[in-house]
Amino acid sequence: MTSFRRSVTPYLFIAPFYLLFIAFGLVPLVGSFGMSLFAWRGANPGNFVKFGNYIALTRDPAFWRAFLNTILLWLGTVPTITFLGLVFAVILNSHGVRAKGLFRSTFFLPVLTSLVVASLVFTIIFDPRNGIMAIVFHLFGIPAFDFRTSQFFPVPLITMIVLWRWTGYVVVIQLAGLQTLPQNVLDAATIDGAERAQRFFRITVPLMRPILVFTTVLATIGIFSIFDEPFVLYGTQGGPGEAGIFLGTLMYRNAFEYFQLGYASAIAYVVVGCVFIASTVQLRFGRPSTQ
Amino acid sequence: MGLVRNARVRAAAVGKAPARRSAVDTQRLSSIALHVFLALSALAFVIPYYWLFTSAFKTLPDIQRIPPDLVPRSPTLANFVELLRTTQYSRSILNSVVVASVTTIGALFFCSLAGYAFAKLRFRGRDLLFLAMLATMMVPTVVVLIPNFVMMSRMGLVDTFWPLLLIPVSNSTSVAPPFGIFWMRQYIGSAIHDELLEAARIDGASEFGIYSRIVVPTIGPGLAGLAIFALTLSWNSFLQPLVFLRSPQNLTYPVQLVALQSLTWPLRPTNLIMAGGALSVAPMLLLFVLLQRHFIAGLTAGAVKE
Repeated sequence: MTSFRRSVTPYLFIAPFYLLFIAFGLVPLVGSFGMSLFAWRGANPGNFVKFGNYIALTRDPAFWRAFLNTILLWLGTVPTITFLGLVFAVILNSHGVRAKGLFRSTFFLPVLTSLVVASLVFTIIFDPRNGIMAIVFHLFGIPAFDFRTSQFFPVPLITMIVLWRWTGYVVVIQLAGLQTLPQNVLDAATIDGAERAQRFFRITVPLMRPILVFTTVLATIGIFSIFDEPFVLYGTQGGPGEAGIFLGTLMYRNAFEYFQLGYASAIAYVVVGCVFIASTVQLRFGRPSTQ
Repeated sequence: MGLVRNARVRAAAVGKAPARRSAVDTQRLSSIALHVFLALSALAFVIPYYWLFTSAFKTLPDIQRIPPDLVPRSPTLANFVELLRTTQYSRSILNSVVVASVTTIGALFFCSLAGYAFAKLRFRGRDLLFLAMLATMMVPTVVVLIPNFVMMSRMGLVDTFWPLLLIPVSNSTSVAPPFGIFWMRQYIGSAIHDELLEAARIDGASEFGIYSRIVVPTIGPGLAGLAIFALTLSWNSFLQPLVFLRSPQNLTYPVQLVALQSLTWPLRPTNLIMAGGALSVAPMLLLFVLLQRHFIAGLTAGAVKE
């Protein structure tokens, strides 16, 4: 009896997560794919259309716009945030920098705001009539433009919000990673007279690769499923010319406004595919080299 | 590197060797440059906060003034009073507090229990189960949202808080977030010695007894980090409440703020929105100041120890 109990106990301890995950994670994950093969509007049983929804996606300009915007946002944010994060982390980890804790906390502050509040604040900072950025633009002689009507502006604006909100998070992770590195390797490089930049790219970056990959994968998942910022700024219609539509908001619009659940599920699976491909590539890239 | 080489080439072209200052001078100069760079960056991180909090104390005409005042000319609490009187914002903050508390308490219990099992108990399939759990961290919330919505509405759970507590994938909020289990396993693995557990087992303690009487009391800092992680995630969550909550009295604060924002321009109460935003950030800032160390540990947990 006791030995039976001993052998069952561990499974009881871990059961809550797996039960929840099977019911509200795995079943929906599989169900989502199943639904993407049906033309289903929620009420009546839908028609099985095989890959019809995916084919329809390729003919939907809104989809291509959302896909392009999401890729552009990825390009604008993920490499930038990884690099910026590492630069700040290396600076904060080096000797002779004062008030390290204060800087670290300051960089970290944005992580405390909800993405909704962050986006709302950026709407008034970029207000074309009297936002601070309008004034800065004016100082540099750049004509003020309205982020609500400009077709160029959505991706750069959301890039800025993402960078503001998440850079401090990446800094803190990478700083923690740097502190686990053997300091003597970095010091040895200094004594050899390695230039600062050379040291950074030849020694710090390779040593930090596993952590850089970790933050990149995390950021990639976040960017491909981005929702809060574009929803608050451009709603589900994506503003003028759908310039502010992303895969997350397009899925929401089709699912919860048009009730095209099958079509929306196909969009969700495009997100899964992108995350899977991007993460696999990054994880492979991040494997320690055999030198 | 390229820059350095260019400088040398240019210097050579002018016919001079690059000026060779003493090492100390160069160091001091670059140190000053570094601090200026850090300070300017820090400023960029703080400006949106400054704008949020100052706008919360401005009247609507002052917010719309051209050019804007960098310092509020007549700071007022009127926005907060109006927000709490004329909207359901206090109710939505209360809802957020309830949801965040339940999520956090649940996460503390379920994650530490599972983390203990993964760290210290031996059972068949442990490593495989653990890997499977890590893989669930890569499932974006948007992907499981639609089937969950269909299921929750059939179960009559739409417009209740249940959907905010039950969906355990990567960035969703739930009482058993996989990231929390991962973090507790790492923490318990390094914080508790096996001999202690063995001794208790020989004394005939049950595994749950060991968990509650030996493990929980010794992992305080780990639990604090986890609590902060779960609290921040839940407090700032938007997509789940937006999809699953319906009645005005059930909304959490981010959904309520977006509802205010959706009023079109001449009617949009920007002053109230900023006051609401400030009210929502203030408790997090306070917690951050009080518990800074745990905060950073909690939010970056497990990132480094692979």
